[in-house]
Amino acid sequence: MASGIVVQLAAHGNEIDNVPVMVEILDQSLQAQWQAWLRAQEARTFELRPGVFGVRASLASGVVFEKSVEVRRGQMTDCRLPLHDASPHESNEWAYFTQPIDAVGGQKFTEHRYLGLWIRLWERLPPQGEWRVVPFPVVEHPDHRGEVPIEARWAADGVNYSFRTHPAFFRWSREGEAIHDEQQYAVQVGGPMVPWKCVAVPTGCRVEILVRPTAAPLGRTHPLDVIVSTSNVKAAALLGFVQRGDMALAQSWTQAWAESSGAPELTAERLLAKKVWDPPAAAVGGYYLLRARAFERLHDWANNLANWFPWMADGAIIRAWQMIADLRRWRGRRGRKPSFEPVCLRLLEAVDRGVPLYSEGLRLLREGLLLCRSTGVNKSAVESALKIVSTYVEASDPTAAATTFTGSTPDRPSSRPKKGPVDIAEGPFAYVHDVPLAAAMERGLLKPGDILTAPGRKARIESDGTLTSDRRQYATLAHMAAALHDDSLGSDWAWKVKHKNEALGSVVQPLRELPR
Amino acid sequence: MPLFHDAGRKKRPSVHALIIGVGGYPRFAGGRSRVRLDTRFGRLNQLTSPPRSAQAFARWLLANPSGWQAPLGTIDLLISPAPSDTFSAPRSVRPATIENILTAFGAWHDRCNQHADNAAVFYFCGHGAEKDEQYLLAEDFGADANNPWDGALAFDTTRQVFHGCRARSQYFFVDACRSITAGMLRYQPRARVWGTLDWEASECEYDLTMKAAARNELALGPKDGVAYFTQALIQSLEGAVAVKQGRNWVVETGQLAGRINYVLKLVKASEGYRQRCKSVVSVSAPIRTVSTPMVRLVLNCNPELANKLAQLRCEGPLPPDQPVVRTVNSPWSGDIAAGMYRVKADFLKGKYRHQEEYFTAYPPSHPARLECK
Repeated sequence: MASGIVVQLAAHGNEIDNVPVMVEILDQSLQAQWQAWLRAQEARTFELRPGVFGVRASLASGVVFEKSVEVRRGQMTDCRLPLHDASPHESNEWAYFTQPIDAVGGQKFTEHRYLGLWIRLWERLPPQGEWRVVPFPVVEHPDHRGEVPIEARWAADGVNYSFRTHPAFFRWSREGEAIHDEQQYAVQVGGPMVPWKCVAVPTGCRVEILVRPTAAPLGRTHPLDVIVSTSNVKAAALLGFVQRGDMALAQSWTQAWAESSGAPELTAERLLAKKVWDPPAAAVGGYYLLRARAFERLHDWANNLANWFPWMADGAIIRAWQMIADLRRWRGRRGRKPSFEPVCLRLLEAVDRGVPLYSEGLRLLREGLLLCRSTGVNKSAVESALKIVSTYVEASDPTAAATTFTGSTPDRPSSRPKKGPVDIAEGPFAYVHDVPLAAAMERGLLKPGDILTAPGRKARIESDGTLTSDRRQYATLAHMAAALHDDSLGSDWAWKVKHKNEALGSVVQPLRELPR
Repeated sequence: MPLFHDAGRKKRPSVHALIIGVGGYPRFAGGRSRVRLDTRFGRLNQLTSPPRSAQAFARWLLANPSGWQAPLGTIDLLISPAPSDTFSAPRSVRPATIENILTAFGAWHDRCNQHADNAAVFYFCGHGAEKDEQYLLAEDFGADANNPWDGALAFDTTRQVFHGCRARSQYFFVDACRSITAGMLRYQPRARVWGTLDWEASECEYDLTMKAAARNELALGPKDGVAYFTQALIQSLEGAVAVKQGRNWVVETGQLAGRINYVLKLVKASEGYRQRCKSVVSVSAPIRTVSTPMVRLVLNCNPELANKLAQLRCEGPLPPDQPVVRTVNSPWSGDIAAGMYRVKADFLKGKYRHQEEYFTAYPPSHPARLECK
């Protein structure tokens, strides 16, 4: 009877089954006896001779699970690896499995600095490229199964949103090519004590957003992490590898992916087979191939991505760098040198299209424009484009995979960003976690004199939104919690509105729902 | 120009390093010059860590000349200590003024350019700033009052230029801050760039460019000690991020970039500070092979109460016939050689029973928990 290990990867989240996990079985000298890519909820049997083995499972986020197992003759030994431990909540597993974020947090949304934190969506409309605040889109399911709901899950250590941006629609060009005219989106978060921050949001796909207090040291770091991804977890994982710099695992995984589909090596076409419907994933694949210097594997596809999706700067950037690689092959050859001008035009086109979806795109856009400047081609246009791109680079956070920058609007990036409450006149928004009591009173959800109760506590809401308890006045629930050294009182979920006999959190909930 | 180290390998494939540590800035607070830099740059001080960090990295390279893709060829070392610093620079070390840096950079480029199988290693530790790119401040930063940035190297552009060098492997390590001051926001710094961008020059095959801090964040170091990122870098190159490939332990560019933040946390675990490195890597490729690396082990009993009562006996690494046996108290933390271990817990009193478990110590660290019943 065979002996070995049955590795069971344990995860709970929705749609994370396709997240790739590298599983290695190591012998006593730590040499790998088996190396295989499994899916995040997969079980697989590895046949082994009796002995002691180490089992390692590595996620794209950089988290590694390890367990040592003794295999006895004729026995299959179970080895369950709790991948779900990497994420504090099931709904956030997509982020903690695929993105390089620190799972050890510490800060909570119930802290005073996060009170009144808000979120809103911006849309950039072609052809002028003006940005405006819009409701979150409610769209038909691509398979005509009704509306795709806007979902959200609130927790003090992170809020998760899930929705679908407008579906792909297209027109035919004169040359007979399908051109997709989707809008570009950006999500913005900010607060009275939180600098306003924008993150590029992909179009035409299901979008996942995690807003959480940062795990990085406060002070110079922005107090919020805003992680944006699509529901294509394979693309998210590849982006995670590239963003973290772990090209060894990225190469291994893309190779395994290619082999599983019967190809000798990964080509852009295979990696991005769904390019027509998932251009953001296609862009991720393009950036990976550029990093891996696999220019030839981009084939004609980069040109298609640039031409078919004029709303996306990333396609033009990837195509420009493919053209640069092509031009460099001419070095040292005789004959008429090719012109750099088409490259410049592609990069200028990318700047016209707005913000690239991914930080890698922003970096390549700047570096490409610097090359353009060195050639002297389209001098003034390149200088103005560099000026625009440099402002984004200065305000950006390159540790985030999606393009992330501070600024009062998506077209006004700034290293010294605005803080403050949002103006309802600019468009709809939602509070992320705790709602200021004054805002709830403005909406008629509460009124001055309402009494709030918590076990052993009672507080009265004043007309200015402050609270009075035991003759002491507190600016917010968070202030009261801090003064009383009781963290549990810091959130509106901890209190009840006496006359309604309803949790305060439920009363103010309408202000937390994403506007649609 | 004398080099800190020259193995005399001439044009044969070699590792060539340029190492710069700037701690002394005459125009910053505490500097030699009577003229001070204006306040728009914020308060910039003398530093004690960069000269020691640069020297530590150079000495480490010198002590580890083999295992690389090619043997160590040359090290050029530029160091500027602060005037009040007790640090004494080795002979053949030049001050890190901008002119010296640019000259050394050119000579280093030429050495690296001699063979495609060369590996180019650049290391900088000192003050840094960031606007649209990162600027590395030389000793004489601010010497020209009309353009203080004439004393700074525009790092990202210079890095881009260096891609044109023939050396297929290019490793750049920058241990400097990336913060921005209010004054810097008002104008575009005009810093120095080594060389000129050539769009015909391809990017190097094996690129590893690592910055010690994320944008707008600080890179730190202890007073009179080696900077944290540099400590983490040296530990990583020694094997803290090594992976076992066949019979060898190998440090790869991809692993170094992907795991440096974990090693940095181990270096700074006591203070719980999270400095965030940012790297750009092309194809992952071996940097060097190392001997069996050390692994930071933290072994705890669960529940915690069992820690007080447990006597641990650890055997390993397996499989030698006579593995080292250690008897330690729980919790146990320390550095052990990578490998497979067996740990036994005995309880002289209390309700817990004898426990036995195997664990795999794989770099960089292994937090192990012994379930006690």
